[in-house]
Amino acid sequence: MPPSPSPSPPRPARRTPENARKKAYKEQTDVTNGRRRREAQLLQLRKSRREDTLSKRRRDDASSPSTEPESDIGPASPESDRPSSSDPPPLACATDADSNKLLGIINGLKSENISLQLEATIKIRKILSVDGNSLAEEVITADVVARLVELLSSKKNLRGPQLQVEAAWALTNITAGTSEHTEVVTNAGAVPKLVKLLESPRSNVREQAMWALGNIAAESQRCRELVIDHGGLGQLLSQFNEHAKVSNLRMATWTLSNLCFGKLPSKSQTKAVLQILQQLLNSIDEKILSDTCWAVSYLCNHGTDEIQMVIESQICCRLVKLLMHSSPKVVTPVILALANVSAAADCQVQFLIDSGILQCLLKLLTRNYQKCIRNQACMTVSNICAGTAAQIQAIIDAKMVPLLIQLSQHGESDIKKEAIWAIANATSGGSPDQIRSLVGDGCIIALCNALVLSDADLLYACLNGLESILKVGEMEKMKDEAGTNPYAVIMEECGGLDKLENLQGFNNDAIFEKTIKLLESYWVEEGSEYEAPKDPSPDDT
Amino acid sequence: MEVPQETLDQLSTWFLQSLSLDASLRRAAESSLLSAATSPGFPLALLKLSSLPSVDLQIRLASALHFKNLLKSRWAPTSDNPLPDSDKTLIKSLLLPLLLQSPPLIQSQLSEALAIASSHDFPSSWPSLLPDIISSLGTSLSSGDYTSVNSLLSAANSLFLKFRHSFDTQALRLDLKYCLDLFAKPLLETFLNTSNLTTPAADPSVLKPLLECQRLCSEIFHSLNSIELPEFFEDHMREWMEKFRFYLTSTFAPQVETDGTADALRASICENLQLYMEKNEEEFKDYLEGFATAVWGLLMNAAKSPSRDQLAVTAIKFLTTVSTSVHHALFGSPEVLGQICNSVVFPNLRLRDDDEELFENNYVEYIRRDSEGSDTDTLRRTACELLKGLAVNYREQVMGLVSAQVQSMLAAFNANPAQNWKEKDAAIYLVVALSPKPGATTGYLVDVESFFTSVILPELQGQDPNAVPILKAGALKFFTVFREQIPKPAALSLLPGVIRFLGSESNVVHSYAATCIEKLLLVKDKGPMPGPTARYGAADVDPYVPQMLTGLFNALEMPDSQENPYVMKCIMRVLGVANISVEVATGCISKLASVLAMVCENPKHPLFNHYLFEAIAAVIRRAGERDATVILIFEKTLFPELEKILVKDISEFWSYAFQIFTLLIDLHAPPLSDGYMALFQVILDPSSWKRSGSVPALVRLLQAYLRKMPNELNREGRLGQVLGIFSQLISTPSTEELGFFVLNTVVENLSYEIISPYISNIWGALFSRLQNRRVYKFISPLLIFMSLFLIKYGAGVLVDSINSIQQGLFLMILQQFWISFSTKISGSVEQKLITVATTRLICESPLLLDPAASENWGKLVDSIVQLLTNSDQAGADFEDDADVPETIEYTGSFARLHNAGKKEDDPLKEIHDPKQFFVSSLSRISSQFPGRFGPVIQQFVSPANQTALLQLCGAYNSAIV
Repeated sequence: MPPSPSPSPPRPARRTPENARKKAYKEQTDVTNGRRRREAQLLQLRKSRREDTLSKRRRDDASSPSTEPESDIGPASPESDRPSSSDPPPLACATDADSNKLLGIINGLKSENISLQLEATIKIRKILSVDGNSLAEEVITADVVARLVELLSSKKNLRGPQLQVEAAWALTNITAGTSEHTEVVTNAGAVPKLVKLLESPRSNVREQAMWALGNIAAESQRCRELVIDHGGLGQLLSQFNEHAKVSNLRMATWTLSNLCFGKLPSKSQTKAVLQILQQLLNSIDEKILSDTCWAVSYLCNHGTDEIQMVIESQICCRLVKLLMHSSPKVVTPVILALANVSAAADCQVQFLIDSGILQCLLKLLTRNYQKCIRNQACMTVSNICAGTAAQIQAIIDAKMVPLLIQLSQHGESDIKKEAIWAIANATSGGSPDQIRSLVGDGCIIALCNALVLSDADLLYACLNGLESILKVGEMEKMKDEAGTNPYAVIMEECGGLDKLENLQGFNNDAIFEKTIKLLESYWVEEGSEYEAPKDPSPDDT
Repeated sequence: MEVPQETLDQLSTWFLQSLSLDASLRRAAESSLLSAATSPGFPLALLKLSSLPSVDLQIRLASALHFKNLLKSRWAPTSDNPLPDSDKTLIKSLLLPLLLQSPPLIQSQLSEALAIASSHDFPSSWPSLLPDIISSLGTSLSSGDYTSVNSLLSAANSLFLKFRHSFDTQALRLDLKYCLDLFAKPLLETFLNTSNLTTPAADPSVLKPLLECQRLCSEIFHSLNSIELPEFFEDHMREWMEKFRFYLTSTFAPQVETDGTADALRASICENLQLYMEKNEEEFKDYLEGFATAVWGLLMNAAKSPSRDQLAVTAIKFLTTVSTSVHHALFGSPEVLGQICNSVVFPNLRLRDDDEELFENNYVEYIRRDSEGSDTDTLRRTACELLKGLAVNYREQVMGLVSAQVQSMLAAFNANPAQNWKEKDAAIYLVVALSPKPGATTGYLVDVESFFTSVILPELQGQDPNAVPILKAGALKFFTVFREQIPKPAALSLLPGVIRFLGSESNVVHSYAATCIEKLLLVKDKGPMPGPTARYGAADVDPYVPQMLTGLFNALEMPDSQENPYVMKCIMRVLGVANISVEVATGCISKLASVLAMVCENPKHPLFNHYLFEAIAAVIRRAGERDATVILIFEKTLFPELEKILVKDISEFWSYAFQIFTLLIDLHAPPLSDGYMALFQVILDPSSWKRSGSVPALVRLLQAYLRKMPNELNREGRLGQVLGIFSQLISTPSTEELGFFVLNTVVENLSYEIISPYISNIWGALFSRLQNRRVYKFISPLLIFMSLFLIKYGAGVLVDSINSIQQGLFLMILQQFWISFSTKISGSVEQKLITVATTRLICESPLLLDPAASENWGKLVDSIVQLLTNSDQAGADFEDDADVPETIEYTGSFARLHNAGKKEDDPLKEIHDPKQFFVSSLSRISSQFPGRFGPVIQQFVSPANQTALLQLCGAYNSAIV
């Protein structure tokens, strides 16, 4: 079934880890070292998509903790009701009557009477629960917030837990606001108290505290570190136990995924998180599953160490299966994660192949999935194509090549490029037999058509691919006495030679030299047996 | 910057003198400048001089030029004699303000200087540059000084160009981020403010600098957007795009429209649209339809001015990209398709006046564009590419439109051939451009066969070779392009027509006629024979040869065609194919000799000269092989010219002359005349070997002498001279491989008795060189030489002669080099040599058959098996490229003559299959020592190679017992 649109990926997955695509860059002497890289490590110049950052969530008046954070929002959902910081809600000016009302509330909050406290706290969180309330801005003062934070520790009597929930709720909604609002909350020392609340025997208290921490964690790396430094991660992980309610698990998973957005301080923490995620991946609850997959994909963004740990936690096989999940909310984070894993070492890539990833990718690429999923799928294919000859063979056996050719000609421009990367990688690293097969599917034309693009890295990869093809063509030529290089002929016929000649004007030394090398090695004199002089003046030495 | 007045005066004088007509004065000034170049502060003095308003402009310009060149050669820290940092710092602080004050001529030199310095230092070592540009830009904008604005933008533009073509790295992105943070906003402000000032009808003198400013902004836009879409540009996309559209759709004052100012801006905008289509299709899609309409509208109104051409090319390229993108449906309706074809594509196919001019005045350039693919940026070609792009998705519709267009062009021609010949030319161009190249599967967009009969044939059969030459050229090109498809009898019947065109006064037409014949002779058929065979043999062309040669040699007499490479190439080809009589051959040689005499005066056209020598070689080879007596006639005609090359030291032709001599010697019946013996002395002179370009030819010549009269070497100490040449050649890396060629030739042709007195010198030279040069590039030819030596003289002679230098030396060489490097040898002949030599070593040498040597024995077996496995996978292993010796350096300057060449000799012709030789030798020796080698193999051959060895034994039905 064609999935409906779902959130875009939070950020582009890396293109390659240290050693992937090595086939494309085999001759490292003439290219810069920086080209073996992961895309995620490159400085981003592009605008951050709104979805690139984590969303925060306000709890509105009607929802209760046990029903709320199940709004089907993934951590990166654009449907989030979070007011974006760049687009603050319009605030009407507070009237005098409002000011008087506020004064009463604040007095109640400051009283020592728990009933008054509770009443005032409820009023405050009601003000904060309504988007664009004119009083919200006035409530969020250092004084009020400090008092709300104090009330988190309220234990005086039976109504203590209710007060804790209300106070945490109010803080949740404040942290759902701007960065400045969140800073007021963290400066008031809310984090250790919220973490403490995770030990509460009451599930609704724990849930509301997690919600607030989730919002705080969504704010920034510094905030995430703050939560973790106060032991929030450990407390959060202990929420995952057999007694937990589904709503609690959903909230815990969401908060955990937010914490995973940044690099975790230690390997042991990553390991512990992965242990939980591994179990959660078997959840039948779509929301839990989606947030779990996001958490995994975030981890994979952090670097080769994390990818290695993800692989060692043996969840890749499950991830591959989840590619065929019916919801794009699951498929999107999964393909992002796998795209990253596919950039790992050859043996890890082999594991993905053995798990049957190629058939899944084929389906993702041929069905009507949204573009970002197809794009990531195509990048995964291109990373696999940068692998060993056996892996390239797997691509060929999966009948992937005709599809890649078709995408390279008719796909959206991003997908076109990924498909060309795949073809360039496969032809650069393929064995002679594989190259013959790739040529039979039309790879020469696809690579030649790409020679008009302006992306220097991709051009270089295409030239490498064509070079491998032409070398095999020389072997064909030798088999056939007085023959010509059949692949050079195809290149001429599809206009590729013209395009190659034009590349001599491309202002990049490595590309220029490679172009000249190809022209001089294979087109000395239009395929005839005569050698033309390149520079007949002998140098006097 | 304080520069003493005397220095400035002195410099002024020198520069003035450097412009003098008196060569000696000029040279003296130049050398003074050269020796002053290293004095401290010299570059600053140049800069100062070039910026002084009181100084004569000529001198300032010369100084600025000198300054720029100095920076070019000495700014880079890695250059020889780099500029001191103190000078650089001063230059960096002064350059921009001085540039802004300078008049345009000086400014353009200083801009280039700035670009050179900034390419190394910007941004990290020149942090003030961009802020300075920005602050001056603000000042100049607010005062409306667009001369300065444009100078500043053009300086900024040169800083950012690197973002267009460099590999995407973190360092590059950091630089780009720096530039974006500082410059994106001022750029947009400049662009918007300037666009508010741009009133289309304004006075041209006001408008021109404004449009130029916008062009520079647009160029910078391109550079800054090349890596990915930066945040700032995405946030402000609408502002940019609206203004871009404004410039595409507005018409400005006539003067800026005709002088190209407006079109240059529009062309730059179109390139940006193209960039966004490629990189930001999604973000750009809302603007696409508007721009497609705008661009298309622009093309519909295309004025036929040359300034429009560049614009039209980029505009059509943009439409081509759209036509092949996912948004191709924008052009999908029959109306739009028809309009694009009729108003954008077809009108641009017609020949332009400047094409006609080129046809008459510069045939070389015309041919390059018309038929050698260097027309990618011409309108004709670009328009055809758009047609092909449209045909990707709308093939049937496009075919219909094209064939209707061809019909209507032909109808117009037929109605009035004299007036409308360009219509026919356009039709021919269209059909040729859309033809799939031979072998392609996409099929034709038009019916070629009927087109050929009805349109091309009448032209080729026309009797007047000078009538409407452009149409004749088109018809000849058509014939050439479709030569494979035209059946042999039809083609042969057309030959007299083509030969007639050799006599056309038009250089293009007789060049095309020559090319047509030349290519026709290369056509091959895939027959029942193994491999393709030439379609046209001697029997087919012989009847036409006299007319052809007459026509071709006559064409060489025509103005501007004395060194016409197309004609000479055709002569070469005809002589290589035809069987010519002795009379024709001697006639050709004397004509070619006189051409040679002419080019010897001033060799300037390498390609023509190459074909000339090929032609000479072809006549000698083909006529000489049939009748050796003609060689004497050839010698008589050619010797004076060839000697002149040596005596007058025409270095370009040395290697050709040696190759012709080689050919003559090969075909000569012994004994050789005195002339040759004198030449022999020349080639034994070490100074002849100093030119690396001619060394390969000398090696061949030496080989020819050795084959013809091997014993001559043994006389008068000549062998010693040869070996002296050898040791000189191996002493430098660039010629060492040639040294081995000489040595190999000696060993291949002489018996051991002759060389034995020299052998210890030879090994001594080789091994002492080896001590300093343990690299593959030296070891590989050394192993090949040793193998050849073994095969020629036997294993015992090899081992003993090496050990006579130093006891145990052979085993050392074996262990350190032979075993480990022999598996890396490339080349099939070379691999065969090593395999056979190693096999004989382990089967014949008592040293290796000694049980004490079993480890070496086993390892040698291992390396042979490895080598044989490697050679099976030849080509599979691309990784080792770096280890394979680069193409030997002389190929850059040595042009091998095909017609004078011999096939590379295989010294082991008697052994067809080295694998079989290896397996059966091994099997034979093991049967002499049953049970002895099995364990050795198990111990010292790798498991993989043991398996491979077993398979080999199985394949040849042999066994190791």
